[in-house]
Amino acid sequence: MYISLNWIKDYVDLKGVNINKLLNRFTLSVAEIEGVEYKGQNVSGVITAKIKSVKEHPTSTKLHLLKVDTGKAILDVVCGAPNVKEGMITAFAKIGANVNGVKIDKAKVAGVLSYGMCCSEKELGISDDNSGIMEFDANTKVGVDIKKIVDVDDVVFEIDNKSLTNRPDLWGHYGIAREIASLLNRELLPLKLEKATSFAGKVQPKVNVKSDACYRYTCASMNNITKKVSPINMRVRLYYAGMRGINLLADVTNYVMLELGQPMHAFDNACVKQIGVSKVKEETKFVTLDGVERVLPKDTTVITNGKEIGAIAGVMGGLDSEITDSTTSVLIESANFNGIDVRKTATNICLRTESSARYEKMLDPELTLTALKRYVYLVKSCDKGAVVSSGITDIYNYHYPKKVVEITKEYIDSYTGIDISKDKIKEILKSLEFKVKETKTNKFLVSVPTFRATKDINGKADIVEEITRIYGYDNIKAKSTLQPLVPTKLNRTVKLEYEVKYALATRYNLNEVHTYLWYDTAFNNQMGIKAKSVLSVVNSINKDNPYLRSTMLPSLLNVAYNNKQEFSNIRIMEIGRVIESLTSEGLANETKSLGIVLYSKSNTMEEMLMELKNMLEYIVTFEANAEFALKPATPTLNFFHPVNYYNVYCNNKNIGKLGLINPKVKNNFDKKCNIVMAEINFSALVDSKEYEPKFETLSKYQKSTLDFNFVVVNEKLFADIKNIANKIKTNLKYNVSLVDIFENQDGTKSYTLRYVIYALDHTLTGEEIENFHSTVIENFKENGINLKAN
Amino acid sequence: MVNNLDKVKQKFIEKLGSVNNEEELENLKVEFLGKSGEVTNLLKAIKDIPNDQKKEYGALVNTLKNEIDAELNKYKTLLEEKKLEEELKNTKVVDLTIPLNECTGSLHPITVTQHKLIEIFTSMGFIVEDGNEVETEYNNFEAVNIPKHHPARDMQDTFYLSNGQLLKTHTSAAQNRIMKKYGAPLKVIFPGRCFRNEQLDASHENTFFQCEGMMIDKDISISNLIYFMKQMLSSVFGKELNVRLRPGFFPFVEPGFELDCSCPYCGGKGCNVCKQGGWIELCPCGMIHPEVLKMGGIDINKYQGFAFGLGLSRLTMMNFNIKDIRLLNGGNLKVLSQTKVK
Repeated sequence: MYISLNWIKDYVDLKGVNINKLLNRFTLSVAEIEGVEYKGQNVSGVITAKIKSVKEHPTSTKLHLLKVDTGKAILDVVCGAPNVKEGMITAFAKIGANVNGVKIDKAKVAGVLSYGMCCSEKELGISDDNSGIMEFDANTKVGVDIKKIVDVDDVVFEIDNKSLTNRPDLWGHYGIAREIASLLNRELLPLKLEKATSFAGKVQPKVNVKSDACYRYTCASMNNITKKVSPINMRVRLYYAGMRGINLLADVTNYVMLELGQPMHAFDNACVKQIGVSKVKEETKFVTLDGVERVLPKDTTVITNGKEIGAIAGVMGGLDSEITDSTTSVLIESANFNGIDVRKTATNICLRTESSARYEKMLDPELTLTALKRYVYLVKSCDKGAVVSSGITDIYNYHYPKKVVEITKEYIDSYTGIDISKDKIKEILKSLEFKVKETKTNKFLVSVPTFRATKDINGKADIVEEITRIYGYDNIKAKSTLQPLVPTKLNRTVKLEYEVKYALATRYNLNEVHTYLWYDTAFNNQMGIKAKSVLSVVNSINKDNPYLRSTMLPSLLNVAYNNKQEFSNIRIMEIGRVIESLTSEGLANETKSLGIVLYSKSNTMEEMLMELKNMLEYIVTFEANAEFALKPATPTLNFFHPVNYYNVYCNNKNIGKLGLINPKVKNNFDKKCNIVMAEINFSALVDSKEYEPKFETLSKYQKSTLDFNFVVVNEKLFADIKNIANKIKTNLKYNVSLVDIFENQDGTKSYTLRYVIYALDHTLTGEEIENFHSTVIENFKENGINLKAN
Repeated sequence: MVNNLDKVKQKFIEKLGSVNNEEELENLKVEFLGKSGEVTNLLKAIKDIPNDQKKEYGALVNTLKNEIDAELNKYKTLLEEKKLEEELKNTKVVDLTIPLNECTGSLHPITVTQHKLIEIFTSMGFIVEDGNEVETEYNNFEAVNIPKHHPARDMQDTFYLSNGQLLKTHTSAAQNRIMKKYGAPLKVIFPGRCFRNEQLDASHENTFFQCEGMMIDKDISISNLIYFMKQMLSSVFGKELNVRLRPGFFPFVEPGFELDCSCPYCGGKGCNVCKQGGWIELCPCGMIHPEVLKMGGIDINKYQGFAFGLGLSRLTMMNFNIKDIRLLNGGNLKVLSQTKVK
């Protein structure tokens, strides 16, 4: 929103105020100022001058030769404007003048010397009207600097609209002026309004309000309006504030809206018989002011002229009842509508206007009458012949509750952490038009002004905000707290997440990446990856990728794919979220998941699988401090190879999987490479119970070592052999370890196992050792495994 | 006989002069002091010496033996030194600057910044929590005082899901759950990934990180908020920074602020990073709205607190001089592998 400082000056005396300091203060206490423009800096030496004569140019059909009276001299001037005429008083740039950054010099125009230039409003930067040169009233004095007549000079600043969403009162200059008056501790001057007596005793326009979205409807009529164009300074203000002049009656509605924040609508009285406010009973077509036909959904609140729709409540008027140049009588609407309804309507018909943007903020219904009187006052001061032709109709159906907040100095101090005096508190609140009463029990009873009570101010915290922002946040000093110190325990998820990533990056040279929560559908299709999704985004801008992932791996494969041109080895990981299922209530079961993908153009798949196993074993054993195991399984995902696929166990609980990529997918990816992948349910890893070490007493007696060489014929895994090796029925203590594996020529495998045996209380006898030896052999034999024959 | 002694001595000195290594020296030792060595033979010859001269002769031979022994030892030391010298000279030069198991692993820049924040806040007594990425409308909006049709919902383009849930638009979505879990007093931060349904460009991502924080206790004030924010930002940037508050509107705080910190790059003088203003807008914050506390089960007659939402992605970009936010989720390993782990 653009704010004109000239406009503000109508209501606050800014004499002696440093404007830059004021604007900085405004940013720190009210809302962010995004930019400041110093209007008129590029304009100087432009005066009023009278065109004495107009002659045709000898060669050009468009140009005219003028004699221009500057009050001091008569000058020859060449001018191309279509509206030049004898006796016209216009804006004239003398030689040496500055017109929007261009220095005016005498110049030959189409062969004729010109001693200056007649200017349009656009050339002076005060409107976008370039249809002709400016024309002043015939009685305007000649030779006067136009800056004395037109407010070309102004400081215009832009406020970030977002920072005003909760402040309906700041959507007009008067509200901003109130804040500035408070910041400067100066008086806010009253608005000039039409007296109530002007309306007294006249017939009131008939209005029938049937929609509950209309909180208040105030209107009155004026007629005998003859002036069509609004005064130049009014148009300059509208232009500087981002709107453009249309005609007097429309301009004043905009002017009042920019001043008070209250949107207004002027109907041509010729088109209005009786005003009705109601909801449409069915979908209805309506042509708005901008000439677009729109479909209004059922229950949209509209203003009717008795039969036809004249305006969409709070959003925009219609083309049919628009003010035209022939309008002499007008019905002025100043109404208040429920902000939520206006917002819904604006969203439904995709039409957000200056008006709807204001209503959405929940405007103060008290404003309607003030705005109406202000409108009439302004029209009458612009057009002396205009008269009030009706009484005021004022239907006030919904009053916001009055708000009084009880607050103490102690409360304010505890919120700020500093000491703000009672007098200061009262002074600030009063400057913002809050009424403050101090009770005998040292409480403040703060009455909230109506323009702050619709939404913004509700409780004590809001009052604290008012006091502190005007007091100045920069006056609040940083202060530590006095809470007792308690050691903080880092939660295991947070701790493990970082440590696991750190270990994978430092020990195993993995690169951490971040990928999106949704699949790249095109990539999955291209690779032939089928992956489950139980949830999808319904309104994504990117319509191709709505499916949320249930596994990390396709995302990581995608990253590997995108990098494979540049690297011969890709080693990536991510701990991200996956949604594998929904709860019985239909809510997402979200889990953290660790995904690892290793891609190599040179390493063998065996090396890579072993490496991957190493990483997972490290994570489970040393990071999570739990028991690690792998068990062969059958993949459930189509992009895993059915062979060499293992489930990962942590404390005997399946927490993930590891394996090779399926050759079908790999061939789409890159035929000459190896890819292995693993995925761990990280939440389950975090939930696993930590292993608590218990120390065994070491034996003081000698240990014995026994080596065995077993031949395994079938495709047993070492895990199975280890299982057998650890089930020796004996009273002795023993540890078993794998010394060697040898692949025999006949396809069998030899495993050399070493047992270290001992007792805690004696040295083993030969017999004990012998017995242990035969027990081991017996045990293996029972499982179909025999010693290697020598 | 005494002449023999001189001859032996003379012979020894000559031979010693031509010894080149320890082996030759050992041989020389055997030749003179061995069982049938020259000196030993001289000793053996004592039996031919008249008795009255035996004592003197014996003493002379012993002196000779000691002299030879001493010479041998001296020479041995000399040889050893020479050998050591040669070894020192001839030892192979090993180039330890050749890289060995070079660390090519890396953590994501977000992880590095997040870890830094966690270290700072835990050192100030904050606990660290974690939130979901899929949230309910209630947690994301209602529980942080953004009712239906509130214009604030307009500011955020939300990804809605097929089951009626949504992807959280801000870390504040976890506030309610965390307050209910821990109650008051509470000092907590909760970093997390957030989502906005918008087009990507150099400064907009649909998936980004924030780090939210809350401190709830008796008498927590705006002064405290300023203090903790100042400490935190000074630690993050490794230098003393100033902070300032401006009014900001966020439905879950009252009063709400935009927190600016003095530009860490120019010290507040004005540069490209701070667009010549000297301040950088970093983090919305404020005193937690009483309604939000109430919904989180906190007794507002006893407790109050502040909350802040730090743009973790933004902070990371500043920290690592990343100009385009899309690099963070882009998965380009040439870019990402630059954040080596410290």
